Amino acid sequence: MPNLMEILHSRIIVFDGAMGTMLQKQGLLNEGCPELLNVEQAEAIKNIHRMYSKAGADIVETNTFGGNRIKLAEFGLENRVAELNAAAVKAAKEGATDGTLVALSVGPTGKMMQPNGPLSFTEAYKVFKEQISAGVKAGADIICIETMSDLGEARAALLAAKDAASKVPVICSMTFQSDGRTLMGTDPATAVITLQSMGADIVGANCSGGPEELRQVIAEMYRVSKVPLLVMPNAGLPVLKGNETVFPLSAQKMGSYAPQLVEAGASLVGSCCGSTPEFTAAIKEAVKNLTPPAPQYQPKTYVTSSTRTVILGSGQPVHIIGERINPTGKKAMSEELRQGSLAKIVQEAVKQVEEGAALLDVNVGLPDIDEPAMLVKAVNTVQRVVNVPLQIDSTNPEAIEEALKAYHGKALVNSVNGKKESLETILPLVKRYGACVLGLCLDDSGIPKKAEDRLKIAQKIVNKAEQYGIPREDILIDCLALTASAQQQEVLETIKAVQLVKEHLGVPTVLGISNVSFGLPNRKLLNRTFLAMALAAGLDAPILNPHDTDMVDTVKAAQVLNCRDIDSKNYIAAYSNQDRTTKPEVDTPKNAADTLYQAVVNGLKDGVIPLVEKVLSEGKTLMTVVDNILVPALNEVGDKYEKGEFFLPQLMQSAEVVQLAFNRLRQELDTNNVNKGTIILATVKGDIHDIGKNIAKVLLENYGYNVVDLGKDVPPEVVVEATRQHQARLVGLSSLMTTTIPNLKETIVQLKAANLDCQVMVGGAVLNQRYADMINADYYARDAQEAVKIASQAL
Amino acid sequence: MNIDKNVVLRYLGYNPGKTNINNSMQEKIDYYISLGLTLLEPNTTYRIFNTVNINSTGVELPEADLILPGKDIVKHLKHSKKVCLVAATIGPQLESKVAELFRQKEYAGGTILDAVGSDAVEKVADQLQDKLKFIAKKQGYHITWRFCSGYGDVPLEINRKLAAAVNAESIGIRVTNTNMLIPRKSILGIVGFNLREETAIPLANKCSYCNATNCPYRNRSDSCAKSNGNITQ
Repeated sequence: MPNLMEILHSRIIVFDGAMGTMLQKQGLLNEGCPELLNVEQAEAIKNIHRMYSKAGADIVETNTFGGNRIKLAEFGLENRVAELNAAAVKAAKEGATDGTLVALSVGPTGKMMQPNGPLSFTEAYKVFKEQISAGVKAGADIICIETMSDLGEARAALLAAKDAASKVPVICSMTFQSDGRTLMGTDPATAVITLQSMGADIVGANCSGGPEELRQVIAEMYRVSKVPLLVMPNAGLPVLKGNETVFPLSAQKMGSYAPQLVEAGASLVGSCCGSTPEFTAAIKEAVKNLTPPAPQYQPKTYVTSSTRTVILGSGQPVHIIGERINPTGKKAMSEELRQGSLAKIVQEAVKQVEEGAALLDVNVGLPDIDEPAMLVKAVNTVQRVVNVPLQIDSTNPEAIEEALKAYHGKALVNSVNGKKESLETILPLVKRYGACVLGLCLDDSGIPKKAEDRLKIAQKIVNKAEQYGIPREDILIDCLALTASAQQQEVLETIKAVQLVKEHLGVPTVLGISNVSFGLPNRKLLNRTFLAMALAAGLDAPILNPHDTDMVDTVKAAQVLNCRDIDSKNYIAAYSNQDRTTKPEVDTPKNAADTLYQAVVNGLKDGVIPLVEKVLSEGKTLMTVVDNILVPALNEVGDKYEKGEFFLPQLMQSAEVVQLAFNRLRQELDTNNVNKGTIILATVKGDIHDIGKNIAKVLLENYGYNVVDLGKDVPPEVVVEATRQHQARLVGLSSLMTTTIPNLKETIVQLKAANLDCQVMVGGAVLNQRYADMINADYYARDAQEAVKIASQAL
Repeated sequence: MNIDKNVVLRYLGYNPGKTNINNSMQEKIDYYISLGLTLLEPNTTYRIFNTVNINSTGVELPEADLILPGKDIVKHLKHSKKVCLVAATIGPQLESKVAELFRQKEYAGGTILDAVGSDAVEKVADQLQDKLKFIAKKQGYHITWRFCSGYGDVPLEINRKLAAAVNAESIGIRVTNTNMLIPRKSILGIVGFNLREETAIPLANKCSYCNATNCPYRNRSDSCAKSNGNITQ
């Protein structure tokens, strides 16, 4: 059997064309499962392979595009993965002429990967491994992962392929839309960088429009690829003919495009949807005398997210690595993490990127949490909200591995160091998941004092990483900043070490800045001075707090001075229109009563209880607090809401303040003093949408009404009974949708029939005054604020 | 995925040019958008039906044994050669957090988070819509906008059959006896595959399909605030 990777040195390899189109032409592709045909129509499948190989295909692809468990489950065939894939390989082997290679086609699962959908890396990996193992066992010569839109899913399939058959070459091909990106937003360069780092032998683009569209995609890939590229275009963009869609491109035309595709960088050329063996013959003829393009790859330090590539190192801009996603020293974030919540992390992620971070460090290390699970959750959440590459920061190798699985791009691992154990546990992970790694200049004897000794450790890390097969360009070095207060002598050694590492190893340097100022006053001043010094020494990527605008400014300025911001473009863009006006001071109220009033209006909960106590101590009675402060304040809020000056959350926030104040007042006197009457509230039977009712409840309580909340999905009898029992004179009913209006009506009928002395107000999205009249309601409340007005009329 | 802060604000009754929000409220909204993003369990599914029978009273999908009644759905699908049923949800986590916030008397937070959920489920469904666009294009079709049960004269009573046809249960969507969806932040929709691009125009104004003439969003000519497509008369 010919060796694919060897042939690729000498000539262009021709891939076959569409399987689906051929099946369709023979009337075999109906509603059923295409992979089932490998068993039920084996001769027809063999025949298609034979036609393609005779037409000149060096490689034929098996009829297994949807041969994974998830896709097959759509036809109830999930237990026949091994059988159908094996039969497909057999059909290809038997059908194709001798010397033709058989590639196992592996298409997507059709399920969205986390964080955009439910499919986890581990599950996807298992599903792909099952299919690929079956195909390889049956004798597939190549694994062709194709038509992928999601880089995360492609990574899972690729790793599964490498684990299932380490010696079988793996192709990883993505499909792009007319905007040049995949459906999930991955650009061609990012796809290549990520997949080749993770070990794909060949990367490519298939489907995605015709040869003209894919020529541009391949050209973009070629700039960054160190592996051969595959291209398989459709027969043009489908067009309408009569009432049928057809692929317009002729075989001849496809053939004439083939040399352009090779020129753009492709070493393997085939065709996709709408193509037939004629296309394969035309391609074969067109490329027979061409030789594969030599890789143009220039080693650079690329880190990627699924939608963006950042290049670090000499000759590139300085990139800020945001350090804020780290619970150390952050009480609120630590507390949230312990409760499993990541809201603060999301906020920090978004804000840091807005402020100029090009990468984000993600660290969730706390002694008492399940770090692997939490780091995965954090990585998934952060990659959902921002598109910058991530630096995965942990001392726990298991956490690093799980995070590298979940991450959709080429991450930067923080960190490895010169200790034997660290090198031996971290570097294999970096290699396996195709990441970059940050090496810290420390080892068993700690951080060396002298710059030369730090360089030695850096050298050791680089050597060791290269032994593990990690290319030098994927290694970055942190020379480690020490605190000036404790080790003043060594501060300059760090600066010197940055210079030495750049000079002798040529790898990018990273440096955490803020440590330098620990224990000294005006830390910001020391931080930015140290930052400027390190940047002058050639630092490529400072790890810092992007909220510190002085530091961000320093980076921008230094890039002008050390010629990394060409023509000062970014600097000019950032500072030419700077507005330095300051905001005017807000008037502060004079006495406690005014302050309380303002607190309600502005929704300020903090310090309300002491404020109520102060008002009381100034001689105000309970009722004057309610009638002269809280209710007028609420009225002002209500007015503003009605005028549109306030919106719902402001109404609710004021309600929270008043409720706190009420709770404090109730300790002073009997609750009944402020009870203006009882109101029953319920969301009617069958309806589960109760947020509007809940909002009404809060407001009514704040105005001093005793609200009995019956909850949602409340049967009419329960409403009647509660009204009777509490002798309530007002009942509020809500219903969101038309389907529960009959229940709303029925509840009113039963209330009226029970002859209770009560009135009914109704509310809900689908209601209006006309409906309310139709179902005999006494009042229609269009919102919660209106319910308060109705209550004051009715009670 | 991005939650659109402006949409969230609008759902909450924010009126550009009129409503004044201070910094702490801005931060609160940012915080709950962030929190919402951590609580999403997005999931979608769809099924494409190749046989579509349309007459003046409704649209029949014989493969699903389903008839979608009404003039509005006929209008929506009149150029469609295939029909795709879609389901999308953000799962139960976010809404149970809303309930928890109300219990903890964090009313503003609960209200904001609920609105975040409303935008999130639309965004999840939009992602699926992008995928369908891609699938359709490969087959030479252009997709219509997403028509949801409850729009116009399509009754909510169709939800149960619609959910069964697209196997919404497989992504955790349940239909109550009163035809409501659980989780509440879920969508069932109907997308047509049309041959001619000019027939697959995007929907300019959802409100034109809604009979809730009293709706404040409509009256302000804003987009609709209803999350789960269950806009009814």
